[in-house]
Amino acid sequence: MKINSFNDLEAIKDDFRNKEKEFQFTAHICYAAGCLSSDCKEFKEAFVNALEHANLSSKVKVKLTGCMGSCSLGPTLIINPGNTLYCNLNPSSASYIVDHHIRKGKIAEKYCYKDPSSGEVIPNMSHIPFFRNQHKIVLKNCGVIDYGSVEEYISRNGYFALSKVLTSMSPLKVIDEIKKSGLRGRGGGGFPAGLKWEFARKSQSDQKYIICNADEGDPGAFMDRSLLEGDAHLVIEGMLIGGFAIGASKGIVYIRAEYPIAVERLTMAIHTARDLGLLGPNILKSDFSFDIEVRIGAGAFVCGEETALMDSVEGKRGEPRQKPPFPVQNGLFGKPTVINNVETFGNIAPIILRGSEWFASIGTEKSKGTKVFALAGDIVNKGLIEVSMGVTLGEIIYEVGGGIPRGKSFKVAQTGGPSGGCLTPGHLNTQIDYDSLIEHGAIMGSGGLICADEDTCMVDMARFFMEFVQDESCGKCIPCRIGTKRMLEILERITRGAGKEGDVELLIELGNSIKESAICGLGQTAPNPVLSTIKFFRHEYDEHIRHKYCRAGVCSDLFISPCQNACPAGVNVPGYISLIAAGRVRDAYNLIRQENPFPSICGRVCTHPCESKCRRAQLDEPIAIADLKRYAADYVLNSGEPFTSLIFQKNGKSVAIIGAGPSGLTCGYYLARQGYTVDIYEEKSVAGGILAYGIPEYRLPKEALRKEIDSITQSGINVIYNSKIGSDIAFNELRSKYNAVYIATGTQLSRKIGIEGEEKNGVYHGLDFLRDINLKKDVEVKGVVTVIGGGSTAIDAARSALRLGAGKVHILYRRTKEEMPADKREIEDALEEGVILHELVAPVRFIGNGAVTAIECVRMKPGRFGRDGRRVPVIIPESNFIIDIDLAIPAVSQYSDFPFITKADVGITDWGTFIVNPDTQMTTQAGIFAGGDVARGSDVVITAIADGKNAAKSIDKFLGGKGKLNIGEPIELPSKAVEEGIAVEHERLQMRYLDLELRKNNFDEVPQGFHKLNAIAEAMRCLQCSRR
Amino acid sequence: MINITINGKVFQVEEGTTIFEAAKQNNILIPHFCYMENVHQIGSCRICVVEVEGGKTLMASCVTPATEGMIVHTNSERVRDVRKVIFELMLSDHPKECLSCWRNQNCELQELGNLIQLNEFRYEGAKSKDVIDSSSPSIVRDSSKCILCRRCVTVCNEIQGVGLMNPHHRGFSTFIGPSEDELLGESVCTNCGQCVLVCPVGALKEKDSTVAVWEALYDKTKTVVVQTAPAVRAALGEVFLYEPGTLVTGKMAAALHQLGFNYVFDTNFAADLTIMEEGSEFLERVKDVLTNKDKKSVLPMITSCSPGWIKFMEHRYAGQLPHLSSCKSPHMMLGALTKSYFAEKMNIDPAKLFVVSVMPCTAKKFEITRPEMFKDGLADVDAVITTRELGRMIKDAGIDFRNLPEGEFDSPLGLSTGAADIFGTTGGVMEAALRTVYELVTGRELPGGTLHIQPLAGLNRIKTASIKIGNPLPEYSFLDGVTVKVAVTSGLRGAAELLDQIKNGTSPYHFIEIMGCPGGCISGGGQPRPVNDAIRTQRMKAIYREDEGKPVRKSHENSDVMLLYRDFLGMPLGHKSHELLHTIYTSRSKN
Amino acid sequence: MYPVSELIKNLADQHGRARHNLLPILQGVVEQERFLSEYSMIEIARELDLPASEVYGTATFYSFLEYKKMGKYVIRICKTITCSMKGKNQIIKTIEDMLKINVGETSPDGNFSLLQTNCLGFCHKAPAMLINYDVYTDLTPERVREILTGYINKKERED
Repeated sequence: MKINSFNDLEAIKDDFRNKEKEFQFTAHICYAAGCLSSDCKEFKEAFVNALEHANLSSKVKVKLTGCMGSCSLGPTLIINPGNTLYCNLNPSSASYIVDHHIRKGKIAEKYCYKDPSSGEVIPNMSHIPFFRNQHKIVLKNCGVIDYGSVEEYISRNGYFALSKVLTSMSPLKVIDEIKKSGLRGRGGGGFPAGLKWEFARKSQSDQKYIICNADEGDPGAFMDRSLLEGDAHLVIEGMLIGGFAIGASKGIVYIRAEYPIAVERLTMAIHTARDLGLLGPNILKSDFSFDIEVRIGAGAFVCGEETALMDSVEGKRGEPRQKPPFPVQNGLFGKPTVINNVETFGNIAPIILRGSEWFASIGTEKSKGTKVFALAGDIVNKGLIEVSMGVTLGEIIYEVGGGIPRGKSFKVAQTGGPSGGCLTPGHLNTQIDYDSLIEHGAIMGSGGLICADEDTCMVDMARFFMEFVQDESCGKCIPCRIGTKRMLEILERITRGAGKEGDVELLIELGNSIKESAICGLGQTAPNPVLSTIKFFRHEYDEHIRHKYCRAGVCSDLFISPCQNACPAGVNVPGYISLIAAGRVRDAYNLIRQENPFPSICGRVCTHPCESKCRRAQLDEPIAIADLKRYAADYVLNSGEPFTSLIFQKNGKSVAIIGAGPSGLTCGYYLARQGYTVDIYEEKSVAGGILAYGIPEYRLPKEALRKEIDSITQSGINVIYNSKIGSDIAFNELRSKYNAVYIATGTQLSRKIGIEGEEKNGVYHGLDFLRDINLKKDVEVKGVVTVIGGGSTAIDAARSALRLGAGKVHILYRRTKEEMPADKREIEDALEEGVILHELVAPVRFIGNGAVTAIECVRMKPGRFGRDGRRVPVIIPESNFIIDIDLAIPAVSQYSDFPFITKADVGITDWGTFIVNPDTQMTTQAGIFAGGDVARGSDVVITAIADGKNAAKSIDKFLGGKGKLNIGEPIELPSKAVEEGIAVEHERLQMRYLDLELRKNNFDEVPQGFHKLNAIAEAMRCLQCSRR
Repeated sequence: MINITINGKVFQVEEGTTIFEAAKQNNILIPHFCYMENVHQIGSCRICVVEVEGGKTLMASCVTPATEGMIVHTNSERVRDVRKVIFELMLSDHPKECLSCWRNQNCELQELGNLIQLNEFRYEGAKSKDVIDSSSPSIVRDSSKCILCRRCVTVCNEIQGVGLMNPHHRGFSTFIGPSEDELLGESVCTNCGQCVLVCPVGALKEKDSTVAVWEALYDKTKTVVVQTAPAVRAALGEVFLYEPGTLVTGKMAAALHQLGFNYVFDTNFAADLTIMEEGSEFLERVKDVLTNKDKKSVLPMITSCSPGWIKFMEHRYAGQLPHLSSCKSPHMMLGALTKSYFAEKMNIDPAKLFVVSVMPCTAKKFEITRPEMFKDGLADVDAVITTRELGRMIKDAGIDFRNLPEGEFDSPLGLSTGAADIFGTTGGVMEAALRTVYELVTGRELPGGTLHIQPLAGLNRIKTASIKIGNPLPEYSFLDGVTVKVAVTSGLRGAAELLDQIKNGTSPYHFIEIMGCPGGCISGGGQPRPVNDAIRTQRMKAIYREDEGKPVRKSHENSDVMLLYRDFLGMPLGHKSHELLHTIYTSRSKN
Repeated sequence: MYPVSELIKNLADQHGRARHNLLPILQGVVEQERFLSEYSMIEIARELDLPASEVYGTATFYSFLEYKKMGKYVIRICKTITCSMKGKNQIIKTIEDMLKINVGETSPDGNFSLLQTNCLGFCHKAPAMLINYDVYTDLTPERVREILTGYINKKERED
């Protein structure tokens, strides 16, 4: 049958709609490539069988659709009416859904979407945040209509735009309409589509061509594929209208060979259209004739570049040439040619049908309409989305995309693939449109948006993209052929740890030269990922080059294992884990001590960044690294075996250390082993600093601390207690008496929150509160205690308050629970013990005559993104409420004071910390070093230890040594710690914990450590990725 | 005309002019590399980038058309910085062993290095290729030196239509040549050497034969005979910095004597001989076709002096081989005569004779290896050196070429007519043949008085002429009223066109001259660089000057040739001629 | 006449013998033969009256036009960024261990070839691979072993 007129289209539409009405339900099963790879075929068969079995086939029209977008939920099914989305289906779920939804008319909730943060079941697809925040024009039919049914396409006004154009519009009118719509090319460049058509219209020629560029090769992009799989007729209709507008009778779709399903469906759609007379001679009885040929690429990314694409169609090597001349003048076979991308053609019919004004009302001033993006990488909702131009990156990632999985932090979004650049947390408020992306050094590209979390190394990412373009360079021009190779070689050596000073400058110079001089778009943009990562992540390049350190734990040549790499002190984690597994616990302890003299303490209070990088987490749960460390330390320190007192030969030089906290002790420990005479001046009567007075005993018993400090000081450190620099001994005296000074005084003062009434009685700042408890001052706590803050001090304060007899303990935190910096386990323990957490609440005023009796609070909501990528909480107006309290403990932050030193002597930052060279820990004064919190602000124990160690190295170097620490004899590791083979899933083994009832009212240590067998079993869970 | 501002000055240029040409027309030179005027403009090396105001990136000036109001800077900091990096990148994939490279001091990359001073190599890294293919007797390909300018690709495909030199693979792995496992020596390569002529570096070079020649010269037991082709004398001077088109016949003969060659003969002698043989063959064929019902001959007859062309035909038009004249090329004839007639006359054992041909041609190096070019196990010619190689030998020997006295060729194979001289240029063989044939047939000189056939001169790809025979001598009465149609082409693209006509049966011609290299031997693959149309024209003019300056300008009037027939060969196409001066061809088609 | 000559002739009849038909013909040969032998490239050149070197130059430009003999099943692992981020290397390692071949090689029995390829457009379900024209996504070493075992068994059944 042929379609000859608009009436024929109408008739098909009516017919189709009438037939639809015969069914009570329609079931849309996503049959796009993504879901096909998740075995949606099997589900479909099961579903159809289930319907037959239940005798319900006549009630339900089953449609196989293109991509719904929610690819990470696939296979998916939508049942209408009701727009109910079922997801993550498998064949066994089919009969349940049929029985519930179709037979009983009830929603089968167990297969509905469940919001991952709230746990709420959201059956209606349009209420799911992922869909709710989208705006579909191009993808309107995708995932809705049967991809194989032209009738259904027509029933949704398909080919109506073509009919409108052929019956009532002149080519110039069509071009005018597209121009007025403001549609810009969706392939990446963003050239106004109407203008391109106009140029081609004006070029005189007997033959012109319309080419649809479906050579979607950008890594991370799959929009075109999905559109062709789901709604090919929309693209065909767009090409037809384009052909009519410019006067072309021939269209070509150039599509990648990597997309077999899209090729098949597109080819089928073209055949169908031809059979109906929608392609071919005299379409709809007009004098317009047009046909489309499909050309399949053969695996060359560069053929996405339009001049290369045309050469490829001509049967040649796909090598680009310089433009001008442009294809609109001199294109395929030398004839005027319009090349647009799939998505651009997808916009044409809607614009013609609904008018340019409607289209131009969507989006921003210079970027009209919507943009389809492919979300991939480290993002919860991976898949295909369409959003209005002008939404912010943050909205895409957090609202549509659902944020970053596994509690990791957002590091970078890569747009535009190998031609693009990166957008950082600082760009989350950036509007997504052509011009603002370019302004920020990225590009819109064709729509691939790859999210990456903190575990992504930016140098490695740059290397990846460079490898890609290098591989895909056509080889015609020198800048691209050789330049990208040289850039890749430099990047490779940096990631291998062989980078040299000046390499980054070479990359910049090469990158800029290639941008300036390559022949085509691919080459000119090839350096972008490198230049963009250098712009935003220069420090990562420097770390790789200078410190052979990859903070993301990706560049495996630079470290033993990701956990070791993540440890600021660089402890050989897989080494000691394998020793524990082999039963050599003392060796394990000694191995830890080589890099970190505080195994017992770090086993208890370390924030264990190592565990967040553990490869085992990809399988089940990370290894309990800190717990195993504690096990090893407890085993040795409690064994009663005395330490062999080693006497290190003195080298005649002396170092003074101020502060016997973790940083000072570490520095002293290593220096003493090196032969230095070390005097540590400690203001208080105990050593340990914050460990001694800032951490409650239920987390860190005094006894454990004492044993560990003893083991350190026996290396030959002299601690001078109760000695305050500035009053007991002048700082200048230290300088003259010692060859070098290391200042590690930490932070001692609680930062005020700065609200009304903070000076009142009953406001007890967190650090003071904890110190007083630890120093056994008589601290009385009763009634309602409210802690303000979300860090570990806040949690410590809250749990301590509870133990001291508080009736009720609240924690007010202005952000969400997920954003609390305190250790997750501590938070859970606190909640379990009865602490009440108020998320998104901030105090505005302490109320009370004399003593505090209440706090006035406001509720907050997440606002714009801050520079760190976190949303800055904003006050919800008129949300004020009052909590009656007896004691308020603000615990927001701490700072240092330096009574013994002035800014004139040593450089100090605006935040009140020492200015130190991060490589050497040296302050602006030669010979004076500083580290730990006093140099970096409030931070964690392990970084203080790392600083102390680093300072010991540079002090040694400064005093003429080699800077190589005496860490002791090498310890031989078990030759083969684990059996080769497949790891079997097993959750982590747990330490013993003090029962809730037994711990609530006292300061007994809560975690009780491992049983030996459990420790060995846990150690054996280690994948030993260092050896693989 | 449009206005373009270059480096602050406004110039008027024709629409369609590239920025590079516009600058050049106004004496602004833009450093360039892959560019070859009128032949090869693909903008691939990017050395010629310039800054166009308002442009996002720099533009390769050789492929960017000038447009009205365009403002161009050819030497801004931005341009110079980028140019330098590109040059550094080029060098990073090039072995920097200049001293052991045959192109040392004659290398376009070195020239560029003189313009763009580098202090260090900062981008060293992997090298992309390192294949040395010396399988061909004519051409050596050293891919490690290739900088992928693709000039050879253009000449091999666009100009010669051979299509052997092509880019393969892509990106950093791209290499230029025959396909991966194919050796030049076993390929369809015609050995024309046009690729060698345009290669800016040492990636393509002729197979060196100077070593063998030196050895022979030093070998006291050998009588070493040298002959020089007509085109050599019109170009050799360029090696010694003479203006293109300077004839150095006398100095060349003197230099060859000084080098120690025992006899210095002129290939031109054999060119005259060729005319005798080929002219006679043509007349026989015509007679056969016009008068014989069971004719065995085919027309048009095609000249056979150009060995590159011969091999091309053997590959591509094997079915048309009977159209080729059976005459050997002149230097092969001379070689054969040296080892027979001359040896006999001088009473020298032919095995002690070493014949060297100085040729403008790389294909001749292949030609002497053809089995048909041996007699009783002895090669007709023992070594071929190109004009360039001769130049090197002269320099190497410390001969002050420019101050040499004029020398002369030796007898008895040294005398030649003007007709032989023009063998060196496209159209020359045809003209020389017609001078003789016309006179043989009609008893009259070619009409016009100049002995030239103007339409057959020049650089057009295909040139044609027709000559009506009127009032012939009685024995040629069958030609009365016949209009002889001839065509001339140089370069294998043109050859293919003419051969396609023959193949399709649409060729209107009786006689066709084909030379493998564009412009003929004057711009053969063995000639000094550079070669472009201006230089071709200069050399061509020199050739015609040489002809016009000769007292005898028709081959059949060469007294020594006549003597040769009388004393030795008998008559054209006689038994001895066939034995020594004619050859056969082999199909190389894989069909 | 070799069967491949016949194939090439048919393909040329079907697509035409103009230069712009070269790619579909090359693709047609690869689809049937799984690679382009030197012989077939020369045949194509002859059929289209093109220099063989030009056919070779064109074919080697495109990574899907294999010119080395390929296995019955060509495994193409997506090497692109998201697949890399999601453990592509472990997948390759698994396959290499299982089939005892490295990337770029074909198993001695001629059953499997292992290659890397550009983005397959399954970044949202990374890592992904193609085996001939079938897509497999969300790969884990486990899943890959299952899939390959399936192919190995299939092969054995067919033999």
